[in-house]
Amino acid sequence: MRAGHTDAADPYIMCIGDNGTCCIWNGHLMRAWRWIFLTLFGIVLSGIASIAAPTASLTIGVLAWRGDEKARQQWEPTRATLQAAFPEYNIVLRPIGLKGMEAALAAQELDFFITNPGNYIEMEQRYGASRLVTLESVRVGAPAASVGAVIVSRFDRPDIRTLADLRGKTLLGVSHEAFGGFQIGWGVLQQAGIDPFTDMAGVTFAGFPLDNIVTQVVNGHADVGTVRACLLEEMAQEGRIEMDDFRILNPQHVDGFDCALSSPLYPNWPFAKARQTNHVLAKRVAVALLEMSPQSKGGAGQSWTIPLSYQPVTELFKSLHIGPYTLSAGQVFREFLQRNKGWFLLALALVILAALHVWHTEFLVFKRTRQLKESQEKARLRLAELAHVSRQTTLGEMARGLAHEINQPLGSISNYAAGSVRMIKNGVASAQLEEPLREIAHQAEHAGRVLKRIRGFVDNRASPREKADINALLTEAIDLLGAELRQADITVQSRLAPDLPQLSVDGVAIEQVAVNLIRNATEAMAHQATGPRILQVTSERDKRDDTRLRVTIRDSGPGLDADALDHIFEPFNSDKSSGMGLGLSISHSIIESHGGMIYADNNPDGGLSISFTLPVDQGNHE
Amino acid sequence: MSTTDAPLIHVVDDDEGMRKSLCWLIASVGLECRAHVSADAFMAGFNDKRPGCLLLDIRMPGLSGLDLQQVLQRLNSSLPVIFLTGHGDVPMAARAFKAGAFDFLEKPCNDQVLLDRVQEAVAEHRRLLAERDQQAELRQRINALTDRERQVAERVSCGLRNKEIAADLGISQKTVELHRHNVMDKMQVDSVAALARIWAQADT
Repeated sequence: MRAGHTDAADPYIMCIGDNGTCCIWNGHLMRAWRWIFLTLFGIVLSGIASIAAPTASLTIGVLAWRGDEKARQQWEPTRATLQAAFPEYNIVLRPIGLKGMEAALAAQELDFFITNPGNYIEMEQRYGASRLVTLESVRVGAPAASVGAVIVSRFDRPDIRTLADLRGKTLLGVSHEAFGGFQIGWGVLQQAGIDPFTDMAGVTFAGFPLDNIVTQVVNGHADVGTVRACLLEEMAQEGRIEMDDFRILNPQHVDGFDCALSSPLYPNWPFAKARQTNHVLAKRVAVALLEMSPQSKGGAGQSWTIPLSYQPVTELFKSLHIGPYTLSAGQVFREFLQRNKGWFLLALALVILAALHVWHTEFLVFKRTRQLKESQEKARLRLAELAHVSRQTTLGEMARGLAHEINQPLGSISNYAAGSVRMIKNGVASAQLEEPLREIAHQAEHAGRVLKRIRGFVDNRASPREKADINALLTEAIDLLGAELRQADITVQSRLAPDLPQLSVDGVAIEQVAVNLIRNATEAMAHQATGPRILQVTSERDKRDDTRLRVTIRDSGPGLDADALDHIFEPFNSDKSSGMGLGLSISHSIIESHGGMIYADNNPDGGLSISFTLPVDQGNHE
Repeated sequence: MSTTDAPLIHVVDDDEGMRKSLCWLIASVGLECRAHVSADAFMAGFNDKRPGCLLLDIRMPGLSGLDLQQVLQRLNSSLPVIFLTGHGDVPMAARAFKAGAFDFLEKPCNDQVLLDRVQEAVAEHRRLLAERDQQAELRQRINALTDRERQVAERVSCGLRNKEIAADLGISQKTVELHRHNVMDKMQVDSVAALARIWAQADT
């Protein structure tokens, strides 16, 4: 049947019209002006045309939904009608699948096509196809250009009375692509808020013939079936079923449509032209088809009527998201969101609540952390302040010794200076003044060092943790207390281990601890009746933990009884006549704030040892 | 040894700067000065026969200045002690003066004051040494007297007449006169008044 049809033939359709087609077109009122129009059109186009084929083909694509042969058989009456009307053409039917239809239109291989309403609207949208006429099917009673669906169940199923009862039931249809045999029914369910694919127990496609569906519902293989409207009536007429055995769900009534109906009516299959097909030819074809009657020769019950609006089909497809309205992943998601708005809003609210909770928790943690840091910082500052006050107090207590320490060089300077003046008056040679002047400079330096030491000790600068050498700090403390120690007739034995690692400490504070401990030892030895007064200052790596240094201040005094030893680091727990009794307590706080420990023990051979440990600088602090 | 010998000043101070500068200052006025690091070091070479004085720091490790003063007192030393202190206080000064300190100066003190006091102390020491020498000589003269002569001298210096002395001692007036002549001769005096004076000085 496709013989003679070639792709190359298509552009010549117009030329064919030009070659006297109107001469053989008989019996039409408009013939005269059409002739003029076509002639003119033909003249215009004749320049493009080069070769006129004696017999050209008009190819009609037909949707072969039940196989090529079935399709040819089905549309043969229509083809025959057209062939009769257009003897100059070879009218060819080209059975084609849904996908093939699209490809053929895209390639402009078809002049006309017959397809289902769903496929048509898709082709209309994508390839600018337009329907010429709509199929009229002979149903029970009068021919109808509309199709509808009926959803049926067995009448004796008391559990199925309305569409709402279909949740959890099984549904039978022809196929997913069947318009009257499934899609219309699907649309009805969708409208009723039931998605057959998710809300029902299952959807089964029985395939052709449609009768199977009815039979299986009767047999109870499926709870409900959706079939083209009028099928039941046809079957009943043939005596194969009794209408009373069925319940029509969601019954509808449309004037002029006598079959049982569950859905709105949709237009039947269209006969459409491809975009590129000549309008004049198309009009002629339309006229020929409209004149075809079911009773006409070769009509075989097939007829065409004026085209119906396919808009309802578009709406249906939109709502079902099929055909041209098949959703992309994003659209599916949006649709899903839309349909489950409530749940999503709830989930969103929960997520927001959870987020708020997390945020709130984070905020609280942040706030508490900051408060903790602030309070730690406050505590640190308080300790620093207290330590500073304590240093000033200590310095006050040390004033006598320090005054002596400064007075000595001053006195010495005074002596040299006065003597020099006297010598100059007596006319002594200036060379003799070299020695006293050198001594003056030396003594002034000494006094300066003492003052610097004092200033460094009592400085109230914010003391950051700095790298420090513990031995340097201990030596500084011993020097600061030099006068006091000498006057108290105390011999200092420094046992400072060489090559100790650096500490990361507030140097002034640690020196203060050393000063406090040495002064404490000095006071203890004031009560020492006999024997030499010996102060031992030891620095070493902690024997138990080599990430720590240990400093021990050991005196030869009377030591402490157990009770006093227990409370030695408590504030105001001093039996000293001078001072506030805060020295050891502050030392304790300072060492703890540096991550160290402080201990007091009586020596086996008399006297007290106070030792403290400090972590060595690991080099990873800020 | 003589009171006319050049004076020697002693400085005892544990602070080297102070010790050295003091000695240097003293030396700058032409006085000999010897510095000692501690009381013990001073005592090791103690000799107070030469005129001079001791500049002594009060607070020192070991024997303190006040302790040293006591030691010197026990030794009946005439060496004047000038205390030097960086932190003098009233009770300490009182104790020092009670124990016979020559002076109590605060460091740093005016060099003129210090040197004046040193000179005065040296003069005082000279005087004391001279006194001591004199007494020693008197004692020597007294020791040269016989027991009878001493008895007579004692009574003469108390203003007794020869007759009373003779009666008291149970010897003849002539013998008293002989003894009296010897006493005046040995004691190198030419009048009863002079005898009475040095007899009191000798503090017999």
